[in-house]
Amino acid sequence: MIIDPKVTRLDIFNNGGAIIQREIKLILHQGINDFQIQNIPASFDPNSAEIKLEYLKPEDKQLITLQQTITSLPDRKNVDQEITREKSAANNIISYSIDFTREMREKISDICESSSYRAYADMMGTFDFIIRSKILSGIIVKILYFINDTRIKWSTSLIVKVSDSKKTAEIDGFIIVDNQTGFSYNNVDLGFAIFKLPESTPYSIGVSFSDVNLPEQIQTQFEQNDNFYEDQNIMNKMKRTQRYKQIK
Amino acid sequence: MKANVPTRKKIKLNWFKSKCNLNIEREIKIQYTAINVSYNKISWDVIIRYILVKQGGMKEIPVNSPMTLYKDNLPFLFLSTAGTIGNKIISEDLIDDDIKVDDDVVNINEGIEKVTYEDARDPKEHIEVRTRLDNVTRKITIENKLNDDINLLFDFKQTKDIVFVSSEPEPSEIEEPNYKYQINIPSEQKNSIILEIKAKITTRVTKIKPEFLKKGKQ
Repeated sequence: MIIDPKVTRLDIFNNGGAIIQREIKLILHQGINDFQIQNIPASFDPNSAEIKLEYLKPEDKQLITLQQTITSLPDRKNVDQEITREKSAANNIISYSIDFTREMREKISDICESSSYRAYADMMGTFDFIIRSKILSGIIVKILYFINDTRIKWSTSLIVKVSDSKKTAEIDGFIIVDNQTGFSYNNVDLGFAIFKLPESTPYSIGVSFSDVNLPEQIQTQFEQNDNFYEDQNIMNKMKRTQRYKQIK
Repeated sequence: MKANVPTRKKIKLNWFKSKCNLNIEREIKIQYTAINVSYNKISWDVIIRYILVKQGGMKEIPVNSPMTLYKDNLPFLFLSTAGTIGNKIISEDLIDDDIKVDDDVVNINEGIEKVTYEDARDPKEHIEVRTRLDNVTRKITIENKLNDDINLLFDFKQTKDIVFVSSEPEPSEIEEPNYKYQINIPSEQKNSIILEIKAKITTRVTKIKPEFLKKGKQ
């Protein structure tokens, strides 16, 4: 059965990415119940995908069990080809749009614009699960997964009004959420965290490979710089501790 | 907090509103090398940072968050945060263009040169090392071009080649290798520090060993 659980909570990271929590109440039949979740972005991390069952009656715990989850991501090569084709088609449509009426032109522009923004992360991934039930019953299913997409992030903006005495001030803090992904989240509980997703996962969007030939670079720095060991940048290649900080 | 996050849009949410104390820290960091210690004139920058001590609970603000300072309802400074420590919000370091620092050489007493030799790569050559200890006196003048009095920290850091000897006035605090001075400068006034330092000047020249020098035609 295809299901589209509502997004209930979105914890966004300041450096891009988020944890998504979705929830749905399902009716289970006796036997094997197979569900396919809709609207799973291809930027989701299959390793972090998790299903939690909330039983309506305590005795259901013995009778209803999660058998397995099935996750997969679309093939990047095929998706990239598809996106290129769509973009090319959109460009052609725009070239010939001179004959369209104004209303039609706006609609077409919207379609073309969304096509030009489309990236691998806007495609759909697969997240299915199977629940084995010995009875006919209801259950609440909570779904949790990371999205590794730097196009959704948050930042802050501070307005500081300095008093005439210049000794005190008033601060207004704002949070700005920038969602450049192809997905909308309506009426969700928002959470914010200071966190950077690791760049080395195969699911990362926009991994940087700029820092190559490190030993040679270190050697040059050593030869040219008397304060070699004071230079922190050269050590940036080593992994640093990173603690997830939840913003209140 | 609940909100709608539409696709390809930015949304702005109210986060907090709070009163705070505003501290302004100014600092001049001086460190000479064996080369620039004898320059006639050196200009240094005054570093300024704003520290907001927030009332109420602490807020974690990401590094590099934009911060706009308003005075009389008009923005007068755009800067970013450098981090938060407890309930302190610290701005990035900026150069204060309203404080001018001129560092002039007053006197150099060259020491006696000591010559030693080191092995060179070529066995027919050696490196002549000439080392001397110079006594250098420098005068650092700080000019406050602002309409307000300022307090700043003058921080001289000695190195392996440049060593502190004395100063006028005396340092307010010594934390080797740093010599720190708390300075107050009234509006549109100047203040000076005279530093006497010892500089180890070393020159290295690779020369052919005398026994390998060709004798000139007689």
